[in-house]
Amino acid sequence: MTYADRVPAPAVALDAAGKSYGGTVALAPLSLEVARGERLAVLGPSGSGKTTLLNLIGGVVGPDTGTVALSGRDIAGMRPGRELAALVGVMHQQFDLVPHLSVVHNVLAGRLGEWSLWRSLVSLVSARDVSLAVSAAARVGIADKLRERTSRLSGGEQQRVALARLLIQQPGIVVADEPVSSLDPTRADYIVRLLTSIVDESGNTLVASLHSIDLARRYFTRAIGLRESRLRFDVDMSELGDDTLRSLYDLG
Amino acid sequence: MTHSEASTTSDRRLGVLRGRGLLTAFMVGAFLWSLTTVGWGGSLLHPGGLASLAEFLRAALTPELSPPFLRLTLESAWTTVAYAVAGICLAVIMGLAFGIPASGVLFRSAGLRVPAVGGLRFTLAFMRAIHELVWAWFFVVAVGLSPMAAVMALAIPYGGILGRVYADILNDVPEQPLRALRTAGASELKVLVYGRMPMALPDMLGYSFYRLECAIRAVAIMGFVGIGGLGLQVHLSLDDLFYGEVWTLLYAIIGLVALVDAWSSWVRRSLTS
Repeated sequence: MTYADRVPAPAVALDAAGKSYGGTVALAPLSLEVARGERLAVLGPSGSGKTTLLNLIGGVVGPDTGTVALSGRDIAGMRPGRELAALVGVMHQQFDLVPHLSVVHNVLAGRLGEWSLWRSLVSLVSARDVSLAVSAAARVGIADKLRERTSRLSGGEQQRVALARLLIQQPGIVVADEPVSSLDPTRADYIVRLLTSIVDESGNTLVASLHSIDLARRYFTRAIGLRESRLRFDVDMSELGDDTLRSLYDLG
Repeated sequence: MTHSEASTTSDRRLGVLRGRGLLTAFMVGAFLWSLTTVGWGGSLLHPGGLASLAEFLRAALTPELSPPFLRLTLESAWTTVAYAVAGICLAVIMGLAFGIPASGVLFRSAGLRVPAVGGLRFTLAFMRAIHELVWAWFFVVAVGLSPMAAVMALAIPYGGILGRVYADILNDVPEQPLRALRTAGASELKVLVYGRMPMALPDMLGYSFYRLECAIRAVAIMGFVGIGGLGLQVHLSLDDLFYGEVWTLLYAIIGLVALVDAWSSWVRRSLTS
């Protein structure tokens, strides 16, 4: 056994991972490690590269330079599918669900990595693993909405559908890109609390971008700040000072 | 973006606008010129034309309503609907079979996608480039005046149109929900059935219904190459100058199209609400 085998690999390890879109640098090469069970808040003004960073960790896009490893495995070339879905789950702020399907199918979409194609097809006609969907929906408080068309739900309710889907997917790492920016403060607090409690139960890792410093302080253990596609700070939440924040968001 | 890049982009935009302005001026000019080529000297209608037109229009108020002719109209209407529905059903199957692969969404590597999509799109273009009336003439020559001729003549060009439109609709579906399905572990085939198809279905269905409307008119036109149905009867009655009968048949066609329209909006409403 080598040393690397004995020490558990960090949940997320970026090694000089960077991304550009058509000559515009979205994220300058950045190295970052997130330990298992950590809750990392990604802060920064709009356009600072937060979404790009989260998309790299979520395997939604691949890096142009450097590597992204999840639980010690390089995800380059890993096809979206069962393997990646077991490692990481992604939640976006909105437009994340198929509006034309009923809620139960959007929740059960968390099983698509596990299901065979045949089972997936059959489930559209007569839902499979319904008990899973029911318990996940109950956990996030939308048990009575399962048979409704997803497009009829409010923004907050749709957010909970996305959470229920994550619950069913059970990824090792949860990545959430501004999960609550379209919600009022009370609902935002409720959703983030739900998100963190879901992540905590399974001892999982959470990486989320947030606009609300309050929510970050209340529910997260560590914070990084991005500005102009670069990492500006990386601190324990308890050490996050107001001066640091002011310079991160400063308009000058 | 640097200052010089910004100025070249806006220069390019100005260039595009100027190009559009030129094109518009050209089109308006062409239209105005075309007006001068029409002989406005009063010979637009031939001498007896106005009288015939008046007679034809008057017959609109007195359609032929005798029981035997109504029976014939009903039978012809049934034939027309049967050909149109059979043709559209086949066209939908062909449209799905060609359109889904032609959208390219199932191919992961560009090396396979580019030639496959190109070939399929070309096939679809070929199918619809030839008008259904030409296909009808061709099939009547090949297999005679059988229902087969009507159905195939309709199914091939309409399959080409539906395939093309299905492919475009499947490509235009919003990307975010699909991305979410992928991160939940779905393969492209599962993304198709869980994301693309449900989101595309209302538009695909609506367009197919619109094509059914067109199919009814198309089958009616095929009467002129001898294929049975309302169109053939219109053709025969026109030859005999029985304008009352023509109007009965035209009302039947209008009624059918209106019925399909009502059916289609009912289905669409129940799908989207």
